[in-house]
Amino acid sequence: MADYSKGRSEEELEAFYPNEILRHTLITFLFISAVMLGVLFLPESFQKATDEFASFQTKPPWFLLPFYHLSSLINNRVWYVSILVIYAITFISVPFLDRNTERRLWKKPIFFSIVIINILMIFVLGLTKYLQ
Amino acid sequence: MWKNVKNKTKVWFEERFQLEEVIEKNVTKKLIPRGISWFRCMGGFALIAFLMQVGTGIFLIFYYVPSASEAFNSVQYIRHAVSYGWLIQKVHAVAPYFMIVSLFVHMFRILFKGLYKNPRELHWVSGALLLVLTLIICYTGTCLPANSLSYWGVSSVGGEVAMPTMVTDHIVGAYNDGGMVSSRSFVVVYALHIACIPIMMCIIMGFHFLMIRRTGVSEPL
Repeated sequence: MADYSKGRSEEELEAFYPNEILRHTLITFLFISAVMLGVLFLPESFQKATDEFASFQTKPPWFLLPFYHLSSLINNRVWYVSILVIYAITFISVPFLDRNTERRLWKKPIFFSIVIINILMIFVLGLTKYLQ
Repeated sequence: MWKNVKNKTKVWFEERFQLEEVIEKNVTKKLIPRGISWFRCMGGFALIAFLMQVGTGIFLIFYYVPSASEAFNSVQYIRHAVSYGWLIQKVHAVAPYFMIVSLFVHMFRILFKGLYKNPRELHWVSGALLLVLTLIICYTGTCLPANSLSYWGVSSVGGEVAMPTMVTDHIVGAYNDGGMVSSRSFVVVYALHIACIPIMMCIIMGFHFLMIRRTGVSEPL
């Protein structure tokens, strides 16, 4: 198991228990409070599926919007699923594609541009679907 | 007397499991680097949200009926007739939003700081797989209540939106066939949502946490 005390002075270390455990507990309660606020204030549509008019007014969750928009742009289903699978595999393989020893993303202009373009593309796809 | 019982119980467990050493090494005597950033909590937030989903999901399993004719009514029953059912159902519906936000922030932080570099490549691989599985489980979750959102997800609204996945292909046909949905389709999506994907997620999470324990958190830039 990882030993953080190696190569560090006592001033650079602190006790996991109770310091970190207390912080974890505190932040867990904060997170649960945020979820409860979401439960109180986030709207939820609950019309029956057969009501076709209602389905036009309902938007899917924001994180699925880019995928729905992409599916509407690519009519061929096999192409659509293939693009998603290739995209997911590329995303999962990032550590093996980025062989540069530099850690900071902003110091690698090509990789940085690819990441920013992809983030913007996902954002624009989701936003345009939302505004439709 | 109480102290005696407590000591005897402690000795009984210690003889069998030798937990004291494990607890000392991993909790009470463990030292960590000072000043760890709050942004490092994002993965933990996603775990909390996942546990909330599992907890509320187990409750919902008792009442939800994965059938074309009963799915919507069973959710209505949970919301209106079961004690605190509205709260548990709403938490189950809302917590994924928080889980996804936490996961996105967690992944962006790792990507921007290059924390996936040697020897932590597999941390990224397992984390990215978890993000993909989370999106799939959220999608299957939106299909289950048979409400207007499910219709939106599985049908071609106005002929513009094609099916996002092949798995639910037959649901589209069923929805378009006079509004009738086959129960078999519900069972397929339900099985993916409550068994297949969560089990895969638990296995990958175990792998992810084990690797973090083995290599430790990365050094600041």
